[in-house]
Amino acid sequence: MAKIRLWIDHREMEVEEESTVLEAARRAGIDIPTLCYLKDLNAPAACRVCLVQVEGKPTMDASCVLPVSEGMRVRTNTPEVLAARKEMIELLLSDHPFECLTCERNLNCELQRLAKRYGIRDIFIEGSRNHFPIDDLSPSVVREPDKCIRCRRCLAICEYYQAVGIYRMVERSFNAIVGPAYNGSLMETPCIYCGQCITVCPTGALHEQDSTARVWEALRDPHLHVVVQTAPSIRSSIGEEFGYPVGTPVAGQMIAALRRLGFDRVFDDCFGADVTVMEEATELIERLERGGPFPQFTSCCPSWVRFCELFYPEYTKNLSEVKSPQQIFGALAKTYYAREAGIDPARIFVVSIMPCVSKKYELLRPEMSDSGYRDVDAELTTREFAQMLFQAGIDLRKLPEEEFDDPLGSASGAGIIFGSTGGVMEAALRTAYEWVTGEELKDVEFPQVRSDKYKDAEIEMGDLRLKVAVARGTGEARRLIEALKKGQKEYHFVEVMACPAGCVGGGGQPIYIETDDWNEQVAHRSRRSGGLYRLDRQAEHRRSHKNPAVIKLYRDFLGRPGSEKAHRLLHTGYLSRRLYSPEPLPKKEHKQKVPL
Amino acid sequence: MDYDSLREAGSIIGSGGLIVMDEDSCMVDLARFYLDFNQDESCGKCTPCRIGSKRMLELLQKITAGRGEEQDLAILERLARLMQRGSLCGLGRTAPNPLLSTLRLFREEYRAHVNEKRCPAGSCRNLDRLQGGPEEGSRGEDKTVD
Ligand code: SF4
Ligand code: SF4
Ligand code: SF4
Ligand code: SF4
Ligand code: FES
Repeated sequence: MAKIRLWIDHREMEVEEESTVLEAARRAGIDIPTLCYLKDLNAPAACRVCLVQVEGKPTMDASCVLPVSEGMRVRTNTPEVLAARKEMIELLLSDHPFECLTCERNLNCELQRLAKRYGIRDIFIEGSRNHFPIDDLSPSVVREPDKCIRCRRCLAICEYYQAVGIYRMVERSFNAIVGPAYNGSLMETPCIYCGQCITVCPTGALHEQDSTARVWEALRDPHLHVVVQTAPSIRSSIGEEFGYPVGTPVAGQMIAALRRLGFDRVFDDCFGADVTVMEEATELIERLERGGPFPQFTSCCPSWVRFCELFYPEYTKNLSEVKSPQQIFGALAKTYYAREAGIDPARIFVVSIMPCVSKKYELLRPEMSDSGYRDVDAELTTREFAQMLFQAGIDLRKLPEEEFDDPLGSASGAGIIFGSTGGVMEAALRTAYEWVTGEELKDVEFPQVRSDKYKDAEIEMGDLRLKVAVARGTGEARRLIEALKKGQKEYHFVEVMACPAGCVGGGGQPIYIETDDWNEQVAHRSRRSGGLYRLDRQAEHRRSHKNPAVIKLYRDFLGRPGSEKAHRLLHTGYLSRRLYSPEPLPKKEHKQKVPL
Repeated sequence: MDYDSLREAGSIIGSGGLIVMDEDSCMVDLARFYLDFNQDESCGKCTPCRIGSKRMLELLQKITAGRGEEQDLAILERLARLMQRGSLCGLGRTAPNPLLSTLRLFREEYRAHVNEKRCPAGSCRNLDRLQGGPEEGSRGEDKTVD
């Protein structure tokens, strides 16, 4: 690869010819601020805070897109350059609300951080500001366009990573804004509610619908029996909010914290995941016996399910009919648990803590009420959960390790790895393999399906060669389905999760602003999987069908996997949805009205 | 008249149009007029052009309405330099040119607007009103500052 010689701040260096000046400078330890740039995903050269001066040029250049050239001499920190960047930040702030104190992203905002770094005390120019309405109609994502800096990262991730394409540049000149067509509501679009746009937004312009108020209210209500389920990935991501290194599993402290918040029972959604595996593996075997339809798609990611319903309705018959762990848990909490504990299900309030903003939408789907009540009442993202802990003065680091409650609290390692990409597939394979072959697995791990890249594999199960694939991001799913349509690929079983690295990289996870490199961002999220695989290796049971709590559930309540009762409570159906017509969701009021 | 001679005179050919003016044309109002146009044409993608041109327009509106302050001229120059040096495309980089050349060649007219609240060309209606002068004669339509 050809090398280019150049000078940055008088330092001579040699870099690969396709580098940008920003990359060359960073490699030499010289930092240049960025705001809109997200390497390998977004480089619109729009914000202009990364300006540098190429000697001999009358103008300055955006270093994030400036290619290096032979003999180039660049200055990154002359007084003129620093002043221009500062003025650029001040210009941005002159069209920005000063609402840090009440903002979601207070102390975790790239714009705020930049203002601090450049010592902004005074804005040299003031003037009129844009005022756009806040869009809080969608069940999952809230847009506050006044806080938008027009970086287009949301547009890039939605279009290129998710292949959904909700955002556009709307209007022009001073009023130009990044938003859905005509700057309408997300509710009127085929948004799949993955929340990935939230995770890359540098400011508080995008965030989740708040559910903390509703959960506080439930916790205060003495008539309610409030139970909580925590998704697999929370135990390896909530620690970040309390200063643990990324991927540290803190399940024990997390459980203790939930008890101190006042939940009556602390359960594990991984138990729900184990039940999902039982049903999903049964369904796969039924399809193998019936001869299709193949592939069977996993259905535990509501964003992927919605994507399929919206863009590939002809493939909804391929979606597993089994509900997601969140909904399975909810349905069991208000039936099985209610019966076991002798509590009127009308008094049970089910909260789930998820890495996800899409689960807020999923729980509102009208059909998710098979228990006779709304199966899950409220969902908190990892961030909202941390927020409640801060507010209550609960510090994870100071807590002892505690255990989940019975009977919905013990999970196998298979249930735990659901939070990672390939985990749902691996968990299902551990059970399906043993059921199909009648043999015990010597090694329960399937490294063939573990990866943060698109992966396919053939698994030998007796005389059957099971063809499987794992896709993350609906962009990958779209390419996969197109290949299926053309007959270029054939699979029996496919896992799709909408988020990079799976739920560990979900739209509700802690937001990481220490990098402007998309691949590094994904790597950070993948590190959370490490904690889950570690917990799996330590687990007493590593296969869902060997989990005694699951065996008891089937013995005492459901009968067998795929039974009529299991179908009624744990299975669901899908719709074909129209792209630009909002479907009504049930009001957020739920059936149980508890006497006060 | 060709490309090179125009460049020597500090201009560009653009679409080839030529505007002839006399002493009844207010140079501040002219700069305002051009900025209004360029501001409107901005695609709104980059910060200096989207916000900078709006801020410059607002300042010129303020000055032609008789509310200019001493420091405004310096701020205009700062904004103009930032747009010239830092914008993404030619539109933003050249948008401040009419302001910079009128400011260079007719600074006195700007000063009269700002310091004496007087429009030497008699064209900024609001200033004349401040001076108790005739109200007719304004050419550029005066949009008020938001
Ligand atoms: S988006 Fe950032 S800068 Fe803007 S109000 Fe929120 S925290 Fe402050
Ligand atoms: S939530 Fe997902 S689908 Fe919806 S706008 Fe954001 S990135 Fe696009
Ligand atoms: S909403 Fe956020 S990510 Fe999208 S353009 Fe605005 S600031 Fe950028
Ligand atoms: S991958 Fe996980 S976090 Fe992301 S939308 Fe799907 S279920 Fe939610
Ligand atoms: S223009 Fe380079 S980071 Fe925005």
